Amino acid sequence: MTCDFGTFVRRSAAERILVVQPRMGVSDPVRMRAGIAATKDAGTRTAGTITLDSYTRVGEHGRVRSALAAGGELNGYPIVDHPADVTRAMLDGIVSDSFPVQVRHGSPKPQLIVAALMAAGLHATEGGPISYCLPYSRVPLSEAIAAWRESTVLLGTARDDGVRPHLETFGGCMMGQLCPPALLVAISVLECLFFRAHGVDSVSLSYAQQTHPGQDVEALRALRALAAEFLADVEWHVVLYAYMGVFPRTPEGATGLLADAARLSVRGGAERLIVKTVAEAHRIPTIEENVLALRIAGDAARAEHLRLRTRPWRAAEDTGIAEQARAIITSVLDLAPVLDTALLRAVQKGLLDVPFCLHPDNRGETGATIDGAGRLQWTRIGHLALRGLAETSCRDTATAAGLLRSISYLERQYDDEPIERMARAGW
Amino acid sequence: MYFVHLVLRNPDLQQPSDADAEYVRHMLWDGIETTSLVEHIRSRPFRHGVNLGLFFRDYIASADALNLILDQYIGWLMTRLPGWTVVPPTEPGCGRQYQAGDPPSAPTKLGNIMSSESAPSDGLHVLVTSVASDAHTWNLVYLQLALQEEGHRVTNLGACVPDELLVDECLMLRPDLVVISSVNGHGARDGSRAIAALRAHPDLAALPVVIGGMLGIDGGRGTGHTSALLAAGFDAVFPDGVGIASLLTFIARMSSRVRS
Repeated sequence: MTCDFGTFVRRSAAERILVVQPRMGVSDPVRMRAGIAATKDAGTRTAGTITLDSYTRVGEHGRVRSALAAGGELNGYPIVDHPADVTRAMLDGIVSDSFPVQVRHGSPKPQLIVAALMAAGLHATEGGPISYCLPYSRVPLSEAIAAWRESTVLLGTARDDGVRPHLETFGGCMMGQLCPPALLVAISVLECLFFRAHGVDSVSLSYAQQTHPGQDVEALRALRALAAEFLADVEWHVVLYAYMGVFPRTPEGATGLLADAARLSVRGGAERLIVKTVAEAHRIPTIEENVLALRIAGDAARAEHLRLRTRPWRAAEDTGIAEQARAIITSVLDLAPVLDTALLRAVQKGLLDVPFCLHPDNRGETGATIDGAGRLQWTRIGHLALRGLAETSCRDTATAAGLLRSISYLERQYDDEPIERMARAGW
Repeated sequence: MYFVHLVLRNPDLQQPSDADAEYVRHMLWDGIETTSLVEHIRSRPFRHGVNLGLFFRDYIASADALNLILDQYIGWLMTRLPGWTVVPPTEPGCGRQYQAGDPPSAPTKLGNIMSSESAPSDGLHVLVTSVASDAHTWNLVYLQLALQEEGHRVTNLGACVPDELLVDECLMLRPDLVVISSVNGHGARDGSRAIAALRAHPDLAALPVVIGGMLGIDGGRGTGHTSALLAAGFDAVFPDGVGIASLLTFIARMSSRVRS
């Protein structure tokens, strides 16, 4: 099983084909194999995913083993506690040069996960010392940085087996909502620099779809420009996440938002897209719902490529995202010659400070809101190196009601029309 | 991990604020290298000064070694804070030691999502927290904003809060009210454990503690957990769907009792 994840995506990009990928994880290897096979046969260019369960994510392997022994279901694939040959057998005949599989997890201390996926013949995963520490855990950042250093070094040794391991940063998502793009772009670049520093030279930078398509296109272009500048000696591509916040509840609303994510990928130059399904607002999706989402995204991307060929190229707006991101990146790099130290100090000093992040190490002096046009704006910049670069003219609308409105902004926008129609039809 | 509690006093400081606590904490960080033995520093305003908590990594071999280090830090602080005095830890050497395997404690948020420097004096000090297994935070952010709008001062512990950390924060902060919010379906189970840990301390037996959110995985209203949670020691339970108005009403009634 030797498929270089980065090579696969680059080849697809050269053919102008967007790689689409689901989130998918069940504990039973037979059903997991079925899901991966269905992804492979979805009818569009896909990469497969093994999403791990939340006990594995936080290292509670006793609970995993009890659940497996009792025949119970976990909310993901427990790759550490299934024997490596079980996982190898599960993937046998499915993973190939034209269909790679990536492991997705969310763990701030992923050493065992990385070891397990390597033992199973896999070499692509994702996360990062900041992006998998601050949003969902309480682990001190210093520990997450040390753990991700070890994990990255370990993953890098796969080169000895003739494979090129791949790491994707989750920095383009962070809390999933209400973070101005410049900070997401900066964290993505910084985490990829971290991966490079510790021996992995095939990476992907992430960005999560937000509330304003024009702002998102500018952010994606900024991400690519900064990647070209800071990661020139590294193989990289950009992955877009379909909106990670409160998702539309109606099937039409959800489908519309997903299709817009695919179009955004094409317009912004992202080579890969992680989809969301119509089930997102309600429950974990079925395999069929995932396959449908992959097809919808693939179709929308193809149509957008065709459309762009016949339309004049429009330059993205320039609201200063690239400039802001570069200022943040350089302020962090200036803190120390060793990136691990620089990242820790940056968060301590608030040079990296994620709005609405409650992790104890996050200073919490920044704030953001959605303005009248739907763009993300800073309300407070705390100690970020953005003085003179970012406007904070929006009044601080961080009220409870304002927060609910901001969080539900896209959901309301995409659901309003279908709901209106249903109401008029007398439902 | 060792925890050492210091009190810094400045008689000229009539009404110490969060900014003063922050200043002291930064002063101390500036004097400490990143490879030092200090894992975290917490600080909060206190009568005529600042309460300072230092969390040391757990490889300090002896009380003497810890004392030497503390003397160094205290000496540093005194040169940078003229006019201040330090009340050193009363126990010789160490403070409390956490058990191996516990997730380490971490600095507490000082409720700074919305500027809250001017919390009115008739508001309560509310501690907002989640339970040990829950990583969701938007519910906690929302609660903090809603409570601050009502004029209360909020300390937000964030997500994945181990029982021991919750107990320590309550002992250190003595809030007027604790609000536990959980949305991952395990709140009833984790919450029962947490309230037992709190009520085991005589100092916290009368502390008002409430819980709310999606407390079970059964969907629906989840009111099935309410009587069990009340019996376990909670003062009120707000299952999913009840809305924040009930919590605010409860607090309003509490405040008027506290004042009278």
